[in-house]
Amino acid sequence: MPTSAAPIIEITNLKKHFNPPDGPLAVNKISMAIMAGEIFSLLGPNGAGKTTTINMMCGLLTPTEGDVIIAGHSVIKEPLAVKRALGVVPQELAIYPTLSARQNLVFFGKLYGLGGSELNKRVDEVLEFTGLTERAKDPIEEYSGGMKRRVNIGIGLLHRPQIVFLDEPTVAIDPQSRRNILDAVKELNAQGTTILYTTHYMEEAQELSDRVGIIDHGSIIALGTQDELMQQVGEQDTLVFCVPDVPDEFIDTLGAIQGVNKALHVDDEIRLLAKDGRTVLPDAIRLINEAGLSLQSVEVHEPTLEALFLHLTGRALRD
Amino acid sequence: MLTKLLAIAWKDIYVTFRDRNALLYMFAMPVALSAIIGLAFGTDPDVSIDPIPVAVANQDAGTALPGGEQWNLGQIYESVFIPAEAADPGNTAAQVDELTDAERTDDPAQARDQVNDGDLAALIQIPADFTEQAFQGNSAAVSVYWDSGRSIGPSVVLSIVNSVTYGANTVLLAQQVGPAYLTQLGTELDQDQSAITQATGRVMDAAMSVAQDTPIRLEQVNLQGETRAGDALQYFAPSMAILFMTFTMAAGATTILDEQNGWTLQRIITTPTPRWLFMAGKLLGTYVTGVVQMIILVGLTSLVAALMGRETSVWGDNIAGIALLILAVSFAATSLGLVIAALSQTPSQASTYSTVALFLLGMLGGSFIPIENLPAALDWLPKITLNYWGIQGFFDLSYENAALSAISTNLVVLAVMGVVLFMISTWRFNRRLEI
Ligand SMILES: Nc1ncnc2c1ncn2[C@@H]1O[C@H](COP(=O)(O)OP(=O)(O)OP(=O)(O)O)[C@@H](O)[C@H]1O
Ligand SMILES: [Mg+2]
Repeated sequence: MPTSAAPIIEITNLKKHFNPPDGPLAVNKISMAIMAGEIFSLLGPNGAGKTTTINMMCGLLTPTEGDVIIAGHSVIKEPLAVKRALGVVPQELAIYPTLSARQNLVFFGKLYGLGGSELNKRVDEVLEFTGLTERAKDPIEEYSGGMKRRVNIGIGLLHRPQIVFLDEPTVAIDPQSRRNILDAVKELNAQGTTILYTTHYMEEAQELSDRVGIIDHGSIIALGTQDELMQQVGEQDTLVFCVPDVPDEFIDTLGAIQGVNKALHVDDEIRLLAKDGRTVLPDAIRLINEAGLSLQSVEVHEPTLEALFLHLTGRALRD
Repeated sequence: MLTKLLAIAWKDIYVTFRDRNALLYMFAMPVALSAIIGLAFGTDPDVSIDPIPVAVANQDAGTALPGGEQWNLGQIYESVFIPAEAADPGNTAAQVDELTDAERTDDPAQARDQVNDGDLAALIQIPADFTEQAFQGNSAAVSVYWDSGRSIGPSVVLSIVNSVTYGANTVLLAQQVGPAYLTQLGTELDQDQSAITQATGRVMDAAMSVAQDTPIRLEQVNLQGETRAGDALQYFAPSMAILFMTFTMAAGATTILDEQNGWTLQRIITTPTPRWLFMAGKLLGTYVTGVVQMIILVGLTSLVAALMGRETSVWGDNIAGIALLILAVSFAATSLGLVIAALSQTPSQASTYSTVALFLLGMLGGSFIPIENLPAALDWLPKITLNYWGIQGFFDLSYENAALSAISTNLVVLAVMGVVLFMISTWRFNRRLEI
């Protein structure tokens, strides 16, 4: 991953307040930089403000305050120059269902300013890259979910942008398609493209990113390389107990175990953050048995971004 | 820039013309409906035309012939429009009577006001010295005042008056040639003056009956024109075409909302393409679709009319007029569609709004029933619709064989409607395109 120290995107005091004064404060004065050549992940739960941030960065939404400089241009003052440097892959499937993949690519290619043989060449390359060459002439509505996602991504790559924004590109698809997409993102980055990737899957952020920004309620609550972030959690393990029908008071009982830093209840799961998971485990299992609850499974996780989020917010990344 | 504009426009045109459902609405429905209505109304003038309200102000004092006989040419006009009680059902006066609803009036000024107000289609006024002037060989004029807002009525009245005038001229000719010739003949034959007068009277009677018979024959009164008007297709083909074209335009404009819903609009905005270019592309694509739809409908309905054995041309042969009117009416409809889309929150709301609004406008504008004889107070109502101006324009072109200048008002009104509605829609959309 050829990361350079030079920032290619600089976000300053970016804020979006929808329908003020009563509407949601979706993004609350974010400031950060993204370096040329890196994969930067914005990790956060539903409604954290990821899409709103990206929409302001690509000129779709006017910021309430602040500005973003992308490849040397202000998104507020020179939106067209910014758009030329950007490839945007929206969270929604922004494609025409009755047109074929090729027709979609040709249409958007023209809007990106491509034409003639250059356009045809790029369309062929993108079809190849997304593995859709064989189905290129079929209407999109006959595609599988994963294939549609790939067309959606391909359109954002047509004009060989310096920077690509991918907003939750793997939502609601099968594991195999997700694998393809993650590999494609890595390959794109290896070719020198700077990538801003949003997700609420910590595994994806962990696998892909050089650096990660964790966003919650419109604010960046942690930012750095994965090593830097892990240091924030400390050397903590996460214990995940699958136990149905746990009374809330029981969580406090578990939280009181020696060595447990945080206890949390998510659906049928109890999560414990502990310095050394293995020493806490026997006590926890004993307490669960004594309470007459049925323990269905136990897992011990090494430090993860998930744990960091839990540590910082007291909530799980996915609710 | 132009490439992008054309890409956006072409994409919409392509998608529309590949959509079988859309094609059904765009072509099959209007052609089928025109044909059905055309068959139902047929070419029977009785069905398509209400009696035309006319007033006759015959102020002619008449004049006495040398033989002492009283002559009143104004009477001829009057009797054609207002037949005697026991008019022979087969004769012309009776036929004219079916077409018109004529009244005698002594107050031409008031009748003229009624024409102005649209209560009367026409006033026929014959001056007091009409017969006298005519018999002296001077020019004598019958005045016809008509309501230019009506399309069929006045032309019928005018053609009747023309025929009567033709007949009256025959009488005058007889009067001028007859006595002189008979006098000469009498001299030669050594006949006495009273016999000549008698003969003159007989010639006059004969001429008079010719005069009254002449307009009676339909061909001569040019009532064949009426048969043309009766071809309901000339009215309903344009009215259905315009109605369904407005639906296409509303659907076209609604794709802006569809694209917003489906995020393709947002995606377009993330490319280096300004918002206004997107709007312009949409406008162009929708407009061209409307124009093409109208052109194809002109072709299809003409074909169907031919298959139905109709002899008159459904759209007329003023190609330039038809073309300009198609451009103008499609423009107004595109803008109307944009306004409907701009006022709607969602695509399904837009489709509900447009169904209601466009049927209502179609009804007001005369898409379903001709609106010849609306009460004066509601005269303006149809004129707020683009349907009215379009239908009237096409009808004038086909039925009236109108020249380009005759439909210039229609063209201007439609263009102005298009501009005003377009401005309203951009104003509304500007406030909404922020996503
Ligand atoms: N157009 C809008 N008008 C009003 N509120 C909005 C609008 N768009 C987003 N929001 C609100 O802003 C907040 C952030 O939404 P956003 O879509 O940015 O979250 P996200 O992180 O992308 O979530 P997800 O993972 O579900 O995509 C949410 O509370 C959302 O309800
Ligand atoms: Mg989102």
